[in-house]
Amino acid sequence: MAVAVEAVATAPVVPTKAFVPDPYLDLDTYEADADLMTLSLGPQHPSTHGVFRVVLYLDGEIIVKAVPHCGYLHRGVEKLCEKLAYSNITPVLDKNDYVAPMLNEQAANMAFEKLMGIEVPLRAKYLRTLLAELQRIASHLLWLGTFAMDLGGALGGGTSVFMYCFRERELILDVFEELTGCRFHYNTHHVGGNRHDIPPGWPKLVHEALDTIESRLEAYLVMLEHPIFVDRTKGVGTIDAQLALELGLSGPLLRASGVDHDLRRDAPYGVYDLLDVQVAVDGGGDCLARYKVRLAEIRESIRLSRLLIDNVPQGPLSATKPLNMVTQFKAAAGQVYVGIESPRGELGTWLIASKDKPTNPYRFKIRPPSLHAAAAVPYVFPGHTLSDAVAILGSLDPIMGEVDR
Amino acid sequence: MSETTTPAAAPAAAPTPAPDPSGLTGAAGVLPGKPVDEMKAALAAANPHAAEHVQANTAKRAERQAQVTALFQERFGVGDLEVANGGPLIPAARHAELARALKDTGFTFYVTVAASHWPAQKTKTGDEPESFEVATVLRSVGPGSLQVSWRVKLAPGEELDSLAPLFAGADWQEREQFDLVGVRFLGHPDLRRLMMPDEWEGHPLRRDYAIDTRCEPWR
Amino acid sequence: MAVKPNEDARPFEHPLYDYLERVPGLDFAITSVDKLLTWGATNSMWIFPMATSCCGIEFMAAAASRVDLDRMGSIVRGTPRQCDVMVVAGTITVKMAPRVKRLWDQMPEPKWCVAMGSCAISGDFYRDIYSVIPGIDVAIPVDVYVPGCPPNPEQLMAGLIKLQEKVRLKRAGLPVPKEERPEALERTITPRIGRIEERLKASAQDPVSRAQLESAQRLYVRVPVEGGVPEVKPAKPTGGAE
Repeated sequence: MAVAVEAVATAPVVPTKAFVPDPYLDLDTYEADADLMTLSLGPQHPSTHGVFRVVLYLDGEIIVKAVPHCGYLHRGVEKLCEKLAYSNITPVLDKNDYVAPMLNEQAANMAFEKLMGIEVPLRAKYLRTLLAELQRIASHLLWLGTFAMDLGGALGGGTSVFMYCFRERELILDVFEELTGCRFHYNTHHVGGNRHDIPPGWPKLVHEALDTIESRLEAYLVMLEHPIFVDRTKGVGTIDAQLALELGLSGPLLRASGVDHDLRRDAPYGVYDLLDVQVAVDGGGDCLARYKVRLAEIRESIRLSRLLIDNVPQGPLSATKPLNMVTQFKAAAGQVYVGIESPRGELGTWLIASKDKPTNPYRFKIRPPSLHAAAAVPYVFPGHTLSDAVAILGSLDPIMGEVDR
Repeated sequence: MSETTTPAAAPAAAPTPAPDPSGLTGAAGVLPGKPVDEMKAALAAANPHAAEHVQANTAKRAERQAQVTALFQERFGVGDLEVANGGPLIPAARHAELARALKDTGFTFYVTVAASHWPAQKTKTGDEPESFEVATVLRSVGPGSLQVSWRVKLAPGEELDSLAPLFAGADWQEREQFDLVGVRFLGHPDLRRLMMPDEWEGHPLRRDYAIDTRCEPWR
Repeated sequence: MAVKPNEDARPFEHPLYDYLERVPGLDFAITSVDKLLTWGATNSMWIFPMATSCCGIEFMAAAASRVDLDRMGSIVRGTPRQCDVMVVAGTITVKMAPRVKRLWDQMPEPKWCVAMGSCAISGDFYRDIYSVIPGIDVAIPVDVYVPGCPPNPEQLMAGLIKLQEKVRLKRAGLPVPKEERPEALERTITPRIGRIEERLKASAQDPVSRAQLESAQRLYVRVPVEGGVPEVKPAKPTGGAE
């Protein structure tokens, strides 16, 4: 039985209830006669989506306290970026949020361009917007597949939805491979524009991929939205609007909590000022709401991608000359922050350039949306059963490459 | 791109396309594209509310900007917001007060905190002692979302008021800055290392920390 | 795969051997059963995914619909105790490495390791960073290297087929060729941090450092001994005489 997935454009920013979460609960002052069990989930566990560890204190099957640990994938990206020239940073950032590399490239290069005062040509901005929307579809499809696998047995083994979602995701990757030569880790953005121009047959491929995905989304609804799925997700892991804002959650997590906020519409970059982005908002705040918001975002991204691929403007693709030496790009001293809307929320770059070394960043700080999603765990887990914890973590969708960097 | 792919039905290109300084486009095998006006008209026809959003955003942002300017001017005596330099410098003692004031003004979304290490150096104008700089970014929610940032300069060993009691999202961000840069936050509920193992020595993102520091027996 | 004939192979000796040899048809049956078992072993390699980062996503793509590792009987299990192959997909950090080693030790013998992607092979461009170990072969022995950043699912498939070949060789009692770490020496900067064995030789002068490294080697390095691969011997204590 399909549940209507509706995108409500406006919702009031009001707290739904007064909730005082206690992530620093003192276990000694919890019930004295409680027989608490400590369970370490991760760092290598199929449901943690990477190397994330949560120490759970269980009273029976109910989680009393959750202490997350991260850093198992800390690769020192920010330190590495301080050592690299501006033109060499993009391929490193592909590996950060490895589910949506296009957005990482875009966030950093927009910060570089802002600091250097380079105006990106319209065609490059346009292509970046189009690639971001296509990447959003692929990212949400991967999320849907892994989330269905987390719910597991309720969906008849769970891996069937995973298989279908990956089948559709491969179509987007094929489109990207045709454009850039890579399945992911594209390295297609550079300071001042884009590297790979659109080949003539590409719009046809994109249309075919989008048509296929859209027609198959209906099949997901039949597979997913039955009473068992709704039972496992409805009312599970509720985050109200106030708590979501407090925690700094962004993107689908914030919108699923009823806050109408999307940087694509509210602080437009690229060519989003020419588009009317329908922001999907759901007041539920639970796993079901997050699922609904993400599915609505897939549909919206399909609509925007179709529109964009049909109207590619002419003009140059880059404002800068082709790269002939790595130290070509120089920035004046200054500090900027640029944030964009990645599939997981506000992905930002805080960039400091000093006058001593104009070719390298002095300090490069990434604002990872997944870090806040992972930090929400001690606020959301307590009070739920262990099986729900896996569903909640799946719906929060933290990507550890981005959390740890 | 292989030669065999069928070209899409490309619209009639303008007679004289704009010259490309980069030299990257214009080669054979590139989608020609529409004139810009045609593209804008097509997008506007399909997105009737886009112009309204732009208008609403501009108005709201101007209103927010006026509020922020007034707040900085009246309560903190800062006239220049130094947008190109990451925001104005605020005395460390008034850091939390400013964050609270901005939160009450409507900047309810905690974006990020970025600490940076500035080692002592000799310049022509005089010696600069070692210092730390902590920049904080907040954002307003909803249409016309505006980001506001400010910086705080700290001497080595000096502690900064934590924003974690104010914004729960600051908890992990500040832990990360403590771990990697070594800035301590006063009043933080749980100031432990976040990324590195607990027994790790040093703060990797300091400028004097070698990038290839060893860690026996692994590397 | 070209394999040199095993010149050192000595005949199998057992008290029952003479007796078994006289049973008519038993040698044929044993050979047939052995072939069956080899067929089974090479086509039911269950994978433990040590998926940490980007390569993990490509590993998932390999296990999912388009490439489908199930076709060669490789299914993915969440626990090391049921698995034959560990696929290390992604960067391994100093915080993660003890866990990888521990999970590897939990896997039952015979076990195999596939290093997928340049981070697992050598650390890639993170190799000089304070928190990343320069290749998983610092911690556990690697049987097949699958280079790429990340390797395509098809490349991983090719790596697993190569591994099947190795399993066949090992079950046939033939020497398994040692796998060389692929490194483009002309183009990339070789890691300044050497392998543990090299450092052991280099630090023979310093007794404290040598003792540390020896204990590290005992703890963390499992040296494959089968198939004529020489065991790495710690440097002889010289007492600083050299």
